[in-house]
Amino acid sequence: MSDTGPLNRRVRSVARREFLARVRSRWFLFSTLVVPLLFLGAMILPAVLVDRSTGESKPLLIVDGTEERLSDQLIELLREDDVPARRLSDRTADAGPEGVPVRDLDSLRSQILAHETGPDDDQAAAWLYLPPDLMQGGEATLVEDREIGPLLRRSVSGALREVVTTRRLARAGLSGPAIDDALRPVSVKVEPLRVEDGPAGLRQALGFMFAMALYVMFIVYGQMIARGVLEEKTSDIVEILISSLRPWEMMLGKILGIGAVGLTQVAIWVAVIGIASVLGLASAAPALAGLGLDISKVAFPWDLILWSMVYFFTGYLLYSGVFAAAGAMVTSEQDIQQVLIPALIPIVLPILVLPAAMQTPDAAWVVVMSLIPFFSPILMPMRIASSYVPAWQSLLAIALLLVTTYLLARAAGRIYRMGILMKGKRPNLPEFARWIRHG
Amino acid sequence: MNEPVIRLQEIRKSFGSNRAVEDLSFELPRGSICGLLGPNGAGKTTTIRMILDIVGPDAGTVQVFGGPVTHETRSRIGYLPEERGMYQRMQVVEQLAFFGELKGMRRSEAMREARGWLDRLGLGDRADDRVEALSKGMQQKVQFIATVLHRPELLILDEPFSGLDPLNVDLLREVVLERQRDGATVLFSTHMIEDAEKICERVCMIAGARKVLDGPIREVKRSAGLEHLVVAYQGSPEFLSHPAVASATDHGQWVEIGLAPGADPQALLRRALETGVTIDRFERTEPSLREIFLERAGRRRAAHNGNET
Repeated sequence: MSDTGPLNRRVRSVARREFLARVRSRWFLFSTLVVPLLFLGAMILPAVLVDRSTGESKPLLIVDGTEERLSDQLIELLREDDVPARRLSDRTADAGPEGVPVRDLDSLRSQILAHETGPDDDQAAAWLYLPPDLMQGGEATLVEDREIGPLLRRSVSGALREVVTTRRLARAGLSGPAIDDALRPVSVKVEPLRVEDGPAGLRQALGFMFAMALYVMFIVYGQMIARGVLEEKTSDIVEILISSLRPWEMMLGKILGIGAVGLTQVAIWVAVIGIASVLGLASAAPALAGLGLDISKVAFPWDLILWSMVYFFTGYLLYSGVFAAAGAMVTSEQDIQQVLIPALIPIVLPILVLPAAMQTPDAAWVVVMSLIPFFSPILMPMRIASSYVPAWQSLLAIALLLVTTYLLARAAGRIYRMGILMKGKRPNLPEFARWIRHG
Repeated sequence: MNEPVIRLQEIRKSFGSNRAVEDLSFELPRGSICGLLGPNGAGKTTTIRMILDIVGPDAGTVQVFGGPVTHETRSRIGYLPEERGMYQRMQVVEQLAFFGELKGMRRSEAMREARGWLDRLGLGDRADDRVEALSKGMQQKVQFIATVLHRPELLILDEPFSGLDPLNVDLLREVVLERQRDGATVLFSTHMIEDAEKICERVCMIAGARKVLDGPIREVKRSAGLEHLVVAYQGSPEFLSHPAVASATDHGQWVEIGLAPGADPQALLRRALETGVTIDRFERTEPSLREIFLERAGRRRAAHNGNET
């Protein structure tokens, strides 16, 4: 009964071989271990790096042109932010690095440049010029030799705004406590309607992570299929295989076997990262509770994970046919890059628009793109995470995916059948078209 | 039950402008062992691929076991391709079990059979090694096991002995003959005509995409109508220009002479003695397959050239 069906014994044997050959390889062990480590590293590393960088930073040099000597208070505020700063000169008259009065930005710039070439080259992160009319609405200038980064810029502008505002309020007659009161920040807290959705942004971050993970999986496993097909061609195994089973059986077995490797790997990752997150969250629960977040009330995003799995399956089936055909089209390792690049474009495209699409997950262009078969496997999970996706859209996307997969698999099967026995020169496009039409 | 195992009718195949096989008809009776002979590029491999339905013929029909090739018939065929190929990183016994499974064997059965064959061909201790660790000759033997593992009724071997040392050639030939005694039908291609002459009952010769001759070796030789002499001599080869000599092939130690139709070998012997040659051997024989082949292929080529001008 099972000897002619799509999952007959031969297909299962091929799938089993593909699966075991890869799961037993060093590559599998390595990549399965490395990804969770990278994931943990990505969470820990930024904290470590930020700590390091402030310790070694160069001072911010302030050229103070104000009569009120605003720099005194500014330096103090910056120190609270761990930003070292000092004033270059006390007197307005000779404020520049060269001791020449700074009349405008150009003269500051030329003095800095002249000074830099000198023997006592002053190491500065950046120069901050406070013009005499700063209190009256004049513009301060931050001159950077090298990029100092958004964090430092934000510290400088925040501190400066506070200094100037404090002075203005004092001039308007407010006393110390009243000024503090006026400057107290107003914060906006974002709360989801349903508590079980967890803190706002968490779902979207998860959706982004899933989209990226799907993207990487499609690329890695797609290429694995293409290279596997090519390996069978270059090592002449294909001749034996084809005398024992049909080309579509070879292709299907390979796709299923490699897909099973992907699922195994994902299952291991989900288990490892899941356990680590649960342990991490459990230990962080008291701290989070202090912020008003009760972890125990946050529901596991089952719907998102389930939909992501569905899109992984269908997307994998769609792309794997493309890659199997790509592998069958070429005859050498050198040629494979040429066919892989066009095969990769439909996977890379949704990733390029992903950041913009996340901002407006319900914009017309995002909705349309997320329904298009080649893009939906990556864009739909993101939309489901970021917004409310009507059921008809989800189902339409899946239906379109399945129809495309079926049509593509037929074409791929024909290319595969013609391609696997081909050696030497690569056929041109009209020849491929003929293969697809006539099989 | 006298249905031929393989029946080709007027099959034809071209690749672009290159005609690989033209109007080939051929029948292989059950239980026979047949050599598919011809020079490199004659169309042997393409013919085999059409028999196995790896490529379809442009015209004509192929029947194996009395019908088109199906799943069921595939598992009754053992095929050794000319381009040997195996998964280099796979263990030898795993690889054989995989090929066995593809032919419908159970995994455990395939494993057991594979180990038995490896022992028999002197590779028992390499069963768990990766294929890439084996020498080329050993890999070829493993490939051969993959061909016979599932006890096929039809063995199709494309250049089975090329690249093997004489000891291993004898070993594999013994297995092939044993399979044939057990009832299997064997078709093997070779460009080494001497190989075929040793073990084949039948031959099918092709040259330039066409069949040149076909049938049991005895009949082929009888119907060739050529009378041959083997002559070993010392002295001048002048006597070979005698009109009785239609063709002469110098094998080094002796000369194989094709006699002109109706010529008297005694006249040639007398002529040789007259020219002062010492005769060590003067023997009437059947023509060798090689002579028949060269004669036929040559005639075809001449005819072909004649057509062109």
